[in-house]
Amino acid sequence: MRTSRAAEQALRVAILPQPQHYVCRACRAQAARQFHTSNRIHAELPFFKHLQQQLFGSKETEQAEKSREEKRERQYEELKQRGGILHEPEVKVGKNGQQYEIAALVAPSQTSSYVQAQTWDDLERIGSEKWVKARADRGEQYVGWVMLASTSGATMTDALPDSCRRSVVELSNKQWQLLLHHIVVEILVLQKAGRLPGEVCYPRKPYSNSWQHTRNADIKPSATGNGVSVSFAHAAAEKSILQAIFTPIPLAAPEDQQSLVVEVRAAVGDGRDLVAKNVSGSNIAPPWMDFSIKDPSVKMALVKRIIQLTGKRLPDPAISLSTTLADLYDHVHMKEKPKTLAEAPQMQRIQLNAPNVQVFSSRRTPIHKEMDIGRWKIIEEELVRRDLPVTGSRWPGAKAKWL
Amino acid sequence: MPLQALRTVAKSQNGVGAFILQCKRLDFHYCDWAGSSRGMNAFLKHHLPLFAAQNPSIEISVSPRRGHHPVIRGQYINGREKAICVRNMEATEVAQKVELLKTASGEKLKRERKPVRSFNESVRGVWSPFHGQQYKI
Repeated sequence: MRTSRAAEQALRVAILPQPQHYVCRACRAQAARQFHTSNRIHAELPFFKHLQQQLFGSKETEQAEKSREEKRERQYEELKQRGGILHEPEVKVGKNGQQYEIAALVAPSQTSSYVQAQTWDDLERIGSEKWVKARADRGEQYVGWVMLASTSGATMTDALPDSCRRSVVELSNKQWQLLLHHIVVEILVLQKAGRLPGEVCYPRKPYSNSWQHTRNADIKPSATGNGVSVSFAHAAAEKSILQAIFTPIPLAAPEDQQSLVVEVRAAVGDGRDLVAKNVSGSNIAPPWMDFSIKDPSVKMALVKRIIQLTGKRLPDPAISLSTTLADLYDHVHMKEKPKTLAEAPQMQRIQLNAPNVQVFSSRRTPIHKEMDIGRWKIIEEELVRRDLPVTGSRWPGAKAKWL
Repeated sequence: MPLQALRTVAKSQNGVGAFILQCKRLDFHYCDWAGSSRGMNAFLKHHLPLFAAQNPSIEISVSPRRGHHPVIRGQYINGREKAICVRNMEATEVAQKVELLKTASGEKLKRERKPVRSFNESVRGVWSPFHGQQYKI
């Protein structure tokens, strides 16, 4: 019987110890689809009809397609009634005063000039060579703002003097903390002045030396309770930081590679001649980093500036999951390789998650075992009372037989 | 006086009604430096979390033993111990040895000459010369 055979198989598989611990999602889905305890003739749809529907679509899918089309047309009509601005892009103003252009809506059924593409050969592909050329023909000049890609592997100190061709700049923990402090101070100053945090990526004026002012700045939780505030020893410092950043992006003065390198080198100070009070050099983030970066404009400005200066790209989950600067620091700083197995993150995690596992970093001796069951105290007392050594077996008479 | 049969009391058998795992503790000893512990270290990193979660009744301790081959030592509720050296084994082979120690009863291995045996007494009962057919000489 098919039903009982399948059930037997399922039970046998459930009882057997699994030699393979990981099965990919596709295989699991396929196994779930193919496992049936009922006979094929009892299925709601015949096999070939099911296959036909999967390939060519069913009535339900056609209906869904139709309703989607209707919805799109309704949206188009609404937009037409609202202002009839179908050919001019609608503009919305964001929270920070930024203006966003909303793409024009095109109804294929009502626009006679619209021809639906059958292949993707002639479609516009953003970022392709053709796209770049088309933009260049219109007079737009592409200016890169990230460090050029090339070799990597050397450390910050030996590569910085001629590191125009480096892709990722490697920094020590101390240098990362200094750089983050420098960027955050600049962003906070921009925000305080009512400018956009994204302007931190704009080019700097020559010989501005903002790092001299940012290094002595203090980041503290603000008196109102939400957010942080930055304070300087001299009021002129804030002004000079603001003046160093161009207000509109100057087309004539794009930020070149050399100036970015100089900026990083100056901000981290080569990691040697530092008298920095906000820097610890350890893996753990210092207390001043415990402020929220939930504001997307601040977070994106921070991430963009990190990419611009160091070439280090953070993965999307790391960016979205980081709620404080300390979280972001955890993703960028240098992770030391664990020297022993007991120090490995997997073993640390198991110690926390599994209550029946104990991980020790040193050897467990028989004395430890006696201590665990509470017998060692009595043994020790007896050994002392008989004037015998408490630990070790290298003493005269240790191997003597008791008569 | 009528003869009464002895009342049979249900004998507890492990696995009938309830099952108690005989293995109570597993000690894993490894070396951080030696190559013979490579498989063992991989097992501890990648397989042990799942094994520990699946067997919460087993107490597991992981400790290094410098300059020695890796060893897994199992302790059982009958007071016995079993140790297996897993030097130069892959992580999957180590997992098999761990499974072996987990399922072992802790008894000393012995040859089974009669593989079938029963704890139930015979349905015919104990033979008695005073019952049944009386033989007359």
